[in-house]
Parts: sequence; structure tokens; C-alpha cells
Amino acid sequence: MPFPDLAHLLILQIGINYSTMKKYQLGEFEEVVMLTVGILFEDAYGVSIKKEIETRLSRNVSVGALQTALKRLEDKGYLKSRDGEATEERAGRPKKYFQITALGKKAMEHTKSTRDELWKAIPKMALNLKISY
Amino acid sequence: MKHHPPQMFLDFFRWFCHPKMKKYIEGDLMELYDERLKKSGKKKADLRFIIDVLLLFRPGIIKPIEGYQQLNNYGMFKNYFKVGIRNILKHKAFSFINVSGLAIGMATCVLIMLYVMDELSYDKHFKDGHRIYRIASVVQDEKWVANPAPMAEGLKKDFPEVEQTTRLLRFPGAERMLLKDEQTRKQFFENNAYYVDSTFFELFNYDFKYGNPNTALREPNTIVISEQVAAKFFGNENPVGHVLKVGLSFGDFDYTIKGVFKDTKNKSHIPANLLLSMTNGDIGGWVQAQTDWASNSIFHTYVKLKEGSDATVFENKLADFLKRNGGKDLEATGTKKELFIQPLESIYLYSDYGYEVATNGNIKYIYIFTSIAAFLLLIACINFMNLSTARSEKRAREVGLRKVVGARKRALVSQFLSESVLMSLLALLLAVALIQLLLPIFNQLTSKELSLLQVPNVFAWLLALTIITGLISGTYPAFYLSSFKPVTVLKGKLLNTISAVAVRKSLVVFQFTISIILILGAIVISQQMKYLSNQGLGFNKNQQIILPIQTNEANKNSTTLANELLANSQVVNVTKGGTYPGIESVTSMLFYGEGKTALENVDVQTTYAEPGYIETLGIKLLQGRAFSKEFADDTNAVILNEEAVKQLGYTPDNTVGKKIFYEFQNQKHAMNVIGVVKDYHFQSLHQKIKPLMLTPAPFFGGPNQYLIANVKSTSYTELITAFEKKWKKINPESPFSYSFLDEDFQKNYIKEERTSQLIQYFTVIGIVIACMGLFGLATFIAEQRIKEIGVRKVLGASITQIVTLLSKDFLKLVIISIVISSPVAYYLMNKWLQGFAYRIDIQWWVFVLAGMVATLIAFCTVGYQAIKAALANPVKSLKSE
Repeated sequence: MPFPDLAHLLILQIGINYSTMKKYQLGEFEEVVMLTVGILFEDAYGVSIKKEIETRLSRNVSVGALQTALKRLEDKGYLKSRDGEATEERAGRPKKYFQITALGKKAMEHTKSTRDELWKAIPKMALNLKISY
Repeated sequence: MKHHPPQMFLDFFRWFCHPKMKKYIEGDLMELYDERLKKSGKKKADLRFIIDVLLLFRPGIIKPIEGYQQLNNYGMFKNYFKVGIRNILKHKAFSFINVSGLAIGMATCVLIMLYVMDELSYDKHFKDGHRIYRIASVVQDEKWVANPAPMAEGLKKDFPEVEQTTRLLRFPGAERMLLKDEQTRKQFFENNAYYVDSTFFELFNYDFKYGNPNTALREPNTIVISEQVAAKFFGNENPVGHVLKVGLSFGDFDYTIKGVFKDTKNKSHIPANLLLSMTNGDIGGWVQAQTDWASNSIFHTYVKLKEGSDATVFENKLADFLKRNGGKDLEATGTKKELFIQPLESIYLYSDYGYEVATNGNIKYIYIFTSIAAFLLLIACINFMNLSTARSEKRAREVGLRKVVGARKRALVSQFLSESVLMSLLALLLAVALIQLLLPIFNQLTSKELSLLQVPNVFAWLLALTIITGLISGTYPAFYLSSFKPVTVLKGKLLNTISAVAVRKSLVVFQFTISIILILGAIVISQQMKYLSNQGLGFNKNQQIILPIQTNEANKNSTTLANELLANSQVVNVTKGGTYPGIESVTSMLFYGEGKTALENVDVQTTYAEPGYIETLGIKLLQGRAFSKEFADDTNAVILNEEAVKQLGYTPDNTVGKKIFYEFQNQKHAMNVIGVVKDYHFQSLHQKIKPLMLTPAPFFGGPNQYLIANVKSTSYTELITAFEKKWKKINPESPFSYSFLDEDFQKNYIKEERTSQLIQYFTVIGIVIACMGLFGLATFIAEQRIKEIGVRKVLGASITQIVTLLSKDFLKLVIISIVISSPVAYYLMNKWLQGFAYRIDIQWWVFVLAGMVATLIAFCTVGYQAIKAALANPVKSLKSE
């Protein structure tokens, strides 16, 4: 097998970095959803996630936005789902419970660490500045 | 009380949502709705629901446009196949009935379609065929497809849109020629010889093996032969330039072979073996002399229109054309003629008029046979339907279980459909074997050379047929079986719903109705055929041997031969004539009676008949006398038949001694009537008897004459051998050939006979299929009621009572079939009989007979099962399993 030359190695490295970055990208809402799923542990399904976010963050979450986010996260492999029971209130329809996968955990950690690094990089002065005229 | 969210939006959601997510999201929506209902009331809950649904309408949730595929199809089909095969093997008897019923239906369908396709292919292979038309005429409601000689040239001259014209001359009696090769001394009689213009190959592009079609018939005394004829004489060599001697009764002529055309599978309404130039020595002179537009319309005239010409416009101009060119001649004879055109490709199936080139097919029979094919296949499919639904109980539990485990109706339907297609495929294998087996017999019946391989893409067609059969026969059972409610069937109760039973019964009625119509058709057709062959024809058809005189030599020695033949003790009488009853005779002339003008003329067929003609054929002389050697009959004596007498304005009593007149080249000629004969059928019974005249010398020079020998013999083989010996002695150069008058007469009904035979066979097949179905059904019903019968026997029912009980229902159905089929069959039969001028009346007992036959067959089929069931030991049948 021919040795990749230096240029190729460089491109490979950049590629890996880039894909790593792209791989672990989480949108803001997606991050919130993942955190909530973590909070709810084995109890995370559509309605419960919606209610939890609405309670904790005092913001309205539409079913559509939530479902889209959940689907996207599952497609990326950050969440896995399992079927739950059907109840009378749900007109006999089953629930779909979500859990965080190992990959998802990595993604969340990556996001958290990048945020923390950003925080660390802010000079103390910028945050303590109080503007008073 | 449960409240429901707005149904419209719920339906809208269910429609657009991705199937994979649908139930979960719907569950979420309902849970939220329930909460909001409790918290804020219906109005608010509804509103929120609507907002949620609308906000869910976004990519990621909407289902893909191409439709959502279940991914597990392949696995399911493997299972269906396995289950299907197991089912077939579990009930071998029923499967066999089903598969063979389908196979028979498919085989007959394919055979008939081969025949139909062959008939439809006539004349379709000529280049630019859609631009070629034949000119035909109508005179006094009688259609005639040949024209006077000068018409072709006139058309080319007068019409710029005519690219080319050509004529084909069929001389009656000259279609069979004796060909001799001087060098090899081989001689053969060849049929289907026609005289054509040199432009013939510009319209009909024959494929030439040797020679050039463009120049082949340009010169006089030339001939073009088919590959088959060439092979007989010359093997594979190129015979172009060779000279063949053609023997006609008035002379032998030498013609040069200018071309050999290939024998292809392509069929045409012109089945030519030999094509001779119209300028040849034998008739060339006569052809040149034909300038009259009102006589001798025996030239088939074809035109090829230029590309883009409008045929209807052309046709409309023909009336003026005829008046311009032939008006004078036509007026002189008082004939009113109208012209019309026939597209080349429609001639074979739609043209059945006077003076066709050769026997054509008939579109009517195509319709009849195609319908029969469709119906037989339908009957087979109905069998399948009936048997499948009747035995549905055995599959009911399987259906229930599958539904419980989650099969949707669509899946079950496709399962049962694939089972029926599987059976169809098995039936196809059997059908192909049947077809190959039956093809030789079928080819004999239809005098064709059909084979499966001649159809382009035959496998694709067969596969399509199989799948269609499978789908047709499987659809109803599939839907019926898949509609079972799991709760009901798993509990063990199977309701044989009234509608299911009704459908089954009406299917049986349908099958038997078709079968009975076929039976009635077969009976009536064979009755008509028998009537035709037994019909008093007015002369003695039997025991007449015909010896055609086709060479000069034979003609010269005809009297000697006649005397020699009379020496034989079995020969009663011998005579000579220009034609004999049963073959085509087109020599006719316009005559008018005393006191009438030339315009009140009658078309009278003329027949040259030597003394003894009337006696030999047993024609009844009513008045006057026949021709006889004792009286020196001048050539102006004639004998008329009753119809001629009537039309000329005489009565049989007063005709003898009177004169009749005709005009020729503007001169009036007279003939003396010396006798009147009773009308006899000198043509087939398709036609009414026309006016006829017998003359002691040929009125027209005809190429052929016939010796007619009336014999009294029981063993023809010896007699024919004796004839042959005498012939060879007197005419050593001419080959011997003979025929029987009754057989020749019967040839007029070949089409009907063939149809009659085919319909008889198909009737039997149809009944066999219907009975197979009935048998299967009866078996099943008997099985079902076995316990009931056991109880009845225990309570004292006799065998007869039980058999009656079981058969009653079926016989009721057969009777309904009889009632429905009778009027339909009556109507159809009447229409068919219209094609005969002489026909039977359909009698009432025919319907009774058909009904009894059907009832008997049904009873035998059902009865066997009924009796078997009635004889069963009640102890065995009542023991619960």
C-alpha cells in the first residue's frame, strides 16, 4: 500500500478535525432536549419532555419542533428509542421513550467542554464591567 | 363521555405524517388534548390541537412523496410462497381440479388466439399497404369485387392521386393449370394461377428469390412461379430463362420463367402460386379486346394512392368517373352501378361478396371465437373463485391469526393473490403441454400451420395471460378471505354469509348459462349443416364422378373417352359440360324477352351442356325437350330454368318456342327456347336460385370443360382405377384427375363445417370445465353437511331422500341457467342463420333437449357426491374429531 504523502496526511488531519467538529455539533434547542432527556432518564417521551422543558425553562415548546428535534437526534445516533405502553388517554397509541446513547453523551460532553473553554477565555474584566453613566 | 379532537385536522395529520412516527405523535397529541380538555375545556383544547397539528406540518415529519415502502416485502413473499405450496400439497385433489381447470381454459384461449392472430395478419405485410385499395361495385344490391378491363387504366389517367394501378385476372376454371417441363418430362397440376399486369409487383412487393420483380412480367409469354413450384421442377436451381409449357383445354402454351418468389409465412387474400402476364398468348388477345365497361367484370382492380391522399375524397369522385368513361356502355345495358373502395388490409376479413379472388375469412367468426375464448377462460376462473371461497373455512383460522399478529388487509390480499398467481403459473406449465399436444389436431381442423413460436414475444404474452388469469380468479377470493373478522373466526364460528353463498350460486348459474348457450349453438349449427347436405338440390348429387378436361389432347378425345367409360357396366351415363353444380360459374349474359326492350334485361347464367347433361345429373325437365344428338340443334337453342322464365316475363307453359334476345356489339341476336327445367341449386344454398340457361355449345369460350359420369357403384376404388386406365390409354400426355360432385358441392360449406366442429369441441370443453367446478363444489358441500346427513340417516331418512336433498339446490341453479340462456341463444342463432338463403327454423324442442342435457350432466356430477355422502356410515360421520 502506497504511503500517503505529506499533503495527503495534512488534508486527512484537517478532514478529521473538521468532521469531528461537524460530527458533534448540537443546536441550542437540540442541546436542551438532550439535557432534558438526561434529566428524565427512563421517563423521557414526547409529552414529558415538552412539559419538563416548559417548566424548567419557562418557554413554550411546540410538539412539532420537539418531534423534529427528537427525530433528528435519533437519526444522528445521539438518542435511541424504545416502545412504551399505550394508555387510554393516548387513545390507545403507544409512547416512544428516548435515552441518550454513548455517542450522544460524547456529543454533549464536547459541547459542554467547548462552552467551558469559551467561558474560560473571557477576561475577568469583560464580565465584571458595569456600565454606569 | 369521551371528547374527540377536531376530526378534520386529525385526518389531515394522519394523512401527512410519516408512517413511522404517526402513532407516537398521535398518542402525544391525544394525551395533551386530554389534559387540556380537563384543564381548559373543549374549545381551548381544540384550538391548541389545531395549532399543534399545523405546526407539525414540517419537513422531517411529513412522509416522503414517493410513498413509504415496507421494507420486509421479500421475506413476506417467501412466506406466502411456502404457505401457498403447502396448501396446494395438502389438498391435492382440489388443487388438481383447480389447476387443470385453469390449464384447460388457458390452453383453449391460447389456441383460439393463435388462430385469430393468424387471421388478422392477412395482407398486413405489404409495403405501404395502407395506401392500397381495391375497387368494388354494387349493382342492384349485389356487391361484386371485380371490374371491367379498361377501368384500371382509366383510373390512372383521370386521377393524379393514383400513384399506380394493377389488375389481377382470375379466369374461372383456369386457376388450375397443367405445367410441363419438356426437358425433364415432369408435369404437375398447380392451383392458384392468376394473370396480372406488369405493374402488379409495384403494389404487392413479393420477395423474389430469383429474378427482378420490376421487370418480371413486362414481356408477353412470361410467368413467375412460387418457390415451392420451382422446387418441384428444378430443385434449388435458378430456373429464370427456362421455358414451361402450360396446358389449357384449348391449347398448350410456352412461357418463360422470369422470376421465383419466396414462400413466406405471410398470408394474403391473393394466395398465388403462379402469376402469368396478362399479355400472354392464351388470353392476351381476349384481354386486349375488352373495351366495354359493362361486361366481363372479372378484373380485380387495385390502386395505390399517393402519400397523403384522402381516400374518401377519391371514393366520392368515382361516381363521376364511372359516368364519364363507362356511362354509355352501362346505359346500353340498363345497368345501374355504383363504385366503392376496399382498403387492402380489410379485404380478407370483411369482403365476402361476388367473385372474390379466393375464399376469404370472416370477421364474424373472429368475434365468435374470441368471445368463446374469453368465456372459456372466464368459466375456468369462476371455477377457481368458487372452489377457493367454498373452502375458505379451512383458511379462516390462518387469516384470523395473521390479523391478530398484525397483518393488514392489504397484506392478506396480496398473500391470497400471490397464491392464485402461483396456481396460475402451475396451470401455465400444464397448459403449454396441452397446447403442444393439441396443436396438430387443431391445425388440421383449421387447415392452418399454427405454432406457439410464430408469435413474437410469445413468453411475455403467456406470462401476461397467466398473471391476468391469476388476478381475475384470485381477486374475489382474496378479498373475501381477507375480510374475516379475527374474533369471529378464532372463536370457531364461521358465518357462511348469505351474500357469499349468493355470489357462489350466481357464478355457477353464469357458468352453466354459457355452457347451455354453447350446447344450443352446437345443436343448431349441426342441424343446419345436415339440412344443407340433405337438402333436395333438384338434381342427383351423389354418385357423380367429375373428370376435368384441361388439355388440348383431352378435349379432342373427350367423345372417345365418354364412349369408353360408358362401356363400363357401373357407368349409367356420361355427359360433358362447361361447369357443374357446386363450383363457381360466372358466365352470364343479359337477355330480354319478347315484347321487351334491351333495358328490361335479366342477368342469366349460361352453362354449356352437351346432350345428356340433364339426364346424367337428374335435373327435372318440365316442358319441351332436352338437347339430344338426334335433333340437329343449331347453336341458338336454349333451355331455361323456372327462375329465368319467371324473370323474363314468361310462364313455364308458354315459354317453349318463344325467343329471347341479347345485344352484342350493337346487334340484336335471338335464341330459341326449346325446354324448361325445374329450378335446381347449381350454386350453394347460401344463395337463392338465379336464372339459368343451358346451351348446347359454349356461349363463351371457356378454358375448362368437364366430363360428368353418373355411376352406380359400391366400390369406388376399383371404378376409379378402371377410369384411370382408360384415360391413360386415350390421353397419354394428360395427367388423370377426378373428383366427386357431392364432395365438391360440400366445399361450399367448409367454413360452416369447420365452425360447427370447433364449436362442438369447445362446447365439450366448456362443459367439462363447468362440471369440474360443480364437482368440486358438490364435494365440498357434501363434506360440510356430513354431520347433518348422519343425523338425518339416524332419524330414518332414505338414501333417495338424502340424494334429493343434496341435489335439489344445484338443479334449481341449472334450471335458472336454462331460462336465462334460451332467449340469448335464440337471438344469436337467428343472427347466424341469416347468412343462409335456405335455413332451418329453430324448433322448441332444441331448447328442451339442451336443458335436459345440461340437467343430466349436472345431476351426474352432483349425484356422485350426493350418493357417496348418502351412503356414508352415520356412526363414522357423527363421531366428533
